[in-house]
Amino acid sequence: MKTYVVRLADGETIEVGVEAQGDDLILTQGDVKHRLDLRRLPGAMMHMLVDGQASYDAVVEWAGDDSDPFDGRVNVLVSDRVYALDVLDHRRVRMRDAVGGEDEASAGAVHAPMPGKVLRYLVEPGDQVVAGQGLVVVEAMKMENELAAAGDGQVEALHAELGSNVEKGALLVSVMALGDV
Amino acid sequence: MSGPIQKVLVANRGEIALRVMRTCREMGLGTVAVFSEPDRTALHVRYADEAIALGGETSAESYLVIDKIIAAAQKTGADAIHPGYGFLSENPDFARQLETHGIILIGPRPEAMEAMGHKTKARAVMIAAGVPVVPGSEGPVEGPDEAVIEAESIGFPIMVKAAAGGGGKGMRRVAESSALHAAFAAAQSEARNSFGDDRVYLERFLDRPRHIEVQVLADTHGNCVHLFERECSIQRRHQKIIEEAPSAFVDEAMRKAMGAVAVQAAKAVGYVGAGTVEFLADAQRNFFFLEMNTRLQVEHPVTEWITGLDLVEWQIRVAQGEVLGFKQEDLSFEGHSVEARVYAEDPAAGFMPAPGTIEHLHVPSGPYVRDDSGVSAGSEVTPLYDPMISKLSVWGRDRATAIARLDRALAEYKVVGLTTNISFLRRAVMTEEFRSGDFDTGFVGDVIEGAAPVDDRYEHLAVWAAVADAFLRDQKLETQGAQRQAGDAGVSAWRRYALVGSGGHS
Repeated sequence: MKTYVVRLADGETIEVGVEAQGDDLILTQGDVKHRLDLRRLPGAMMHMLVDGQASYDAVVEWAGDDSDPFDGRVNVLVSDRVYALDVLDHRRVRMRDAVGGEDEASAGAVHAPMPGKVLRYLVEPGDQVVAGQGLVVVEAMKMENELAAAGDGQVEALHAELGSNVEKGALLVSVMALGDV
Repeated sequence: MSGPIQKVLVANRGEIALRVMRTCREMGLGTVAVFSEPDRTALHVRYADEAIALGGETSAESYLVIDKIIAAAQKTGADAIHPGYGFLSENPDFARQLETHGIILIGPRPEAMEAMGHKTKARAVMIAAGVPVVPGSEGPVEGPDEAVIEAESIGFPIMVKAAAGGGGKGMRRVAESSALHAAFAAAQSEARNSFGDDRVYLERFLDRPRHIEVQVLADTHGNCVHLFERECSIQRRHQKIIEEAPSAFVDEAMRKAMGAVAVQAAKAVGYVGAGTVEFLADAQRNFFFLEMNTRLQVEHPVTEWITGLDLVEWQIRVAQGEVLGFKQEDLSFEGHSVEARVYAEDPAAGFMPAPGTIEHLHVPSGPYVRDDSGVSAGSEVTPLYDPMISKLSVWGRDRATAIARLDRALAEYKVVGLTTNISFLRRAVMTEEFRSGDFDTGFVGDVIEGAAPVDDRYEHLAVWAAVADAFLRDQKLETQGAQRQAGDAGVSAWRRYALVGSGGHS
């Protein structure tokens, strides 16, 4: 049996054991076992028959960075809900813990939530900003979208050139949290 | 402008281009699509009998270039052009140039577009015709300073709106004088980018009105009827997302009054074809003229469901000079219809557009379900155009049946590859407020937020699916990896395989 460690959206982790039995998989969670008859369908879809009875479509999309062996981020669609999980096998979780944990996300950065054009900046480096204050306006699909500061702080730098087209996830504005100023 | 039309060029893309072509097919008419470079394999191009490349990427380089559209019509011998909605559909210049070239526009006369297209002019025409309007500035406002003076006399909160506007673009709500400068600049800039006209005007902001509109249909022989109302109060970012007909709020007296005013408004500008008169209504059932859209609306299917009429068919018939086949007293409606717009957007992130590639698509079907989608598996939803991927409409014998059916159909919708608002739409139609019919334009934000509340109903299944998928993948890759060479302890077998595969060093 192989064990996977799953981190749920709320940070809680659970362990699930898996073993193959014929064409089915046996999943063990605590002292409960379930039989899974899983069929892959075109387009990343799969169909699950749980304990030979309950029927579900699901889509599993691995969202992690391929070059990082400790990045197990995955988005799973069941019904009309998407669940963001982190799934690593037991061995890799131990290795990750030994190496010293995950990267820290930069706290006060505003990234482009979609591809678009940087229309205008509403702040300059050095400006003090408060949570919810607009920092930059990005145009996508003819709509102007104002992106706001997540917390109080000081604007460190403006990263994308004014008027330039940026990709989704591009760093636009970095903000130092107040405590770091 | 008469004589039977043989071949229709649709100067649009996406779901509306398909919707128009479907009726053309049913009427035995030829269809011509036009397309930009990114739309080479779009569904509307594949559906049409003929398709002409416009070149260019953005709308401004393709779907908005009048000369290119006319050249495409001439090349294919199309004798009529259907503009759909958006793009050139309300452009009087386009209408005039088609007239010059002897091509029939399936739409109103340029004079009607001009009178209604400019919101401040439309207000003046409506006031003259005795149609009630929302209090506001008499014409476009020169600058932010003048706006402050005007706004203070009209009273806050106030809406800054693009004079040439529509579709919620170039529109800002302002609560007080101090915020007016910024809103004025933003509305101007959006108006300039969207309509090439940066004039803006002010209108009093009605607190939580309902947005109700009336469909009208007029021929070239002086006949004009209304096809009842549509309720469009469920909006986000000033754009409609759920529409229905009839409105749960409108009683028979209000329906008659609104219908009469809508016909009066259409007649005041000599309207021909299908058009929509939009009203704002307050809780006391007072209603004010908001604007007239001189084109087919996105949400026209709900009217088609309850009246049994094909609005595109009547647009075409009227455009070739036919007389409307019915009088107002011949018209009635049956049952209830609800439509939901499926967008590539992220409700949890303020309904921001979420472009991407549709990897897998399963659209709903079954009794009384209509899916007008403009995409298929493999379609890319680009930041260049509107992020709507489909409108889903249903019919039921009564409102409750229609709502249950819409929820059922939304649950069948599967879009893989990008983020959509489907789950949000389901939450919206299932709220007590929506079901009771007691809601207004403040619904999104007041009753329901974009971000979904925690719902872990399916979480354990998501966990099992992910773990099972990881297990099968690891098993397969370990087998393959073992065939290559013994592993090093730092990288797992499947990761190594992934690296080798992508690096091409095998």
